[in-house]
Amino acid sequence: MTLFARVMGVLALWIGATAPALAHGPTPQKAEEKITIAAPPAKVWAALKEFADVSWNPGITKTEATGGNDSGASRSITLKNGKVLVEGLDEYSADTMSYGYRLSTENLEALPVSFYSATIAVTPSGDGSEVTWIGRFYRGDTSNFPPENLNDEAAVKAMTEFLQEGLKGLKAKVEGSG
Amino acid sequence: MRFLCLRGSAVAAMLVTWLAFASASLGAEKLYVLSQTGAKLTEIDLATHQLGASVALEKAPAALTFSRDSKLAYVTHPDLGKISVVSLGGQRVLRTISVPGSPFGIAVAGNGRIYVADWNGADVAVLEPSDNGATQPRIVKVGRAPAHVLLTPDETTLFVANRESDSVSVIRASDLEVVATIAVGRAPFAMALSPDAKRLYVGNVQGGSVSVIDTAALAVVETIKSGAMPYGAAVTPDGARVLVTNQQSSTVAVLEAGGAPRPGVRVGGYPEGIVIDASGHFAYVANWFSDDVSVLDLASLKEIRRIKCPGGPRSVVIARDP
Repeated sequence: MTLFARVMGVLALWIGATAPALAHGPTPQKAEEKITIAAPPAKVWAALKEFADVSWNPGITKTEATGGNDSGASRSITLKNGKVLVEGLDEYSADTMSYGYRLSTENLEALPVSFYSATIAVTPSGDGSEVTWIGRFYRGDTSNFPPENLNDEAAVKAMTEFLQEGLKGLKAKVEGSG
Repeated sequence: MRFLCLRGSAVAAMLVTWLAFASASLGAEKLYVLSQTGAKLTEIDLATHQLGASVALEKAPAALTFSRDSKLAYVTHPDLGKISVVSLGGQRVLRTISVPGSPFGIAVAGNGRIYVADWNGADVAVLEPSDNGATQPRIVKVGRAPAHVLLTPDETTLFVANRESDSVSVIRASDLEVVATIAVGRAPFAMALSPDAKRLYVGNVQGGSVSVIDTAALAVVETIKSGAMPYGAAVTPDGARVLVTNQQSSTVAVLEAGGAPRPGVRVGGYPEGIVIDASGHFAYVANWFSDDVSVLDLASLKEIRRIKCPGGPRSVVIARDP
């Protein structure tokens, strides 16, 4: 190998290693999960409404937050795998019992997605409530040749499971509290 | 707001009259919607709001533009490194062109020259019509992660929104020189030009704002708060209003001079592309999450219709029958 080729090789590695943080891909993916809860919407919203309090979600073991329920508030959530994600609150509406937030600091070891925004909302449904949680996100590796653990399918699976587990936890908490 | 210069003036009235006349004397307008997960380009009849012909495309089409004569559609596939060229009359893909990187935003000049941004890179590829993808395109260096591109109607200037450099590159078409790089808000994505081409509106996704650029001075003259994650923008034919899709709040913000900020018009889930018809009566919004197109009445500023369409609609374009 010539010196030139070696230098170019090192340069290529260096460029790869300094790829920008929170880059996202050109083609987003979606997940949508719903659950019905046998409790009035106000009671479900009461369990959900603090952006800083995610104790209803068994997928999250620890939360640190600042900014309350104001747009721009931030929370660090520790997932069951011990890894941390930081999320920022965009829009909060007690009237419509919903809030929308986005990922501020990605962590592919926590969740194999490079960016997401999500909205959770409570609506009346029959005698009880329905909670809808939707997410828009990008695969972990946004290049055109992602490894299997960081491709679109892996991102959709991880996000879908995360939403499902959270909603089940919310249902158990609200229905279990009488 | 200062960006409004025609409102209420005799010039505006004349322009509206002329546009109404022009639209009556030309071919019928048709709406086309590009669906990412559905991988289809679908025609929607603007009179009946019925879905018409649909052209099946390769995987994950992202951005859409038309030839000046509305006979061809150009669609980018960033994940495949390809552009599909679609015959609208023949309703089929005529050819695909391989381009380097992850082609995203696209513009096509009257002579067939293609400008396409490389989302995962920092450049715009320029393909000459004679190439047919056979030769390497010329490459113009811009900021990081260029998203949409916009070619001025006189085809002298290409604007490029650089998502990760928080800037807009201005490329002179005659010699492909970058003549200016204008700092805007955080993560610029989509752009729209005023009908007189004097103002460029740039939606800053992470900034939640619209940067207003004076296209003569090539400088930002105003920054307007828009709402959460502005992913699309369109200007009414009289230049009086700028409509912005706020993806995170599923609303369309209406920015106009003088008036107090209005509450956004609620549309479907995660709206992205938006287009306004030549009469200025209706806007059409691609709702990426809810798989439909919202029809907004611009007199009442209300959503009057949702049209179900193939999954993951991102772009809407209005074309005239040639």
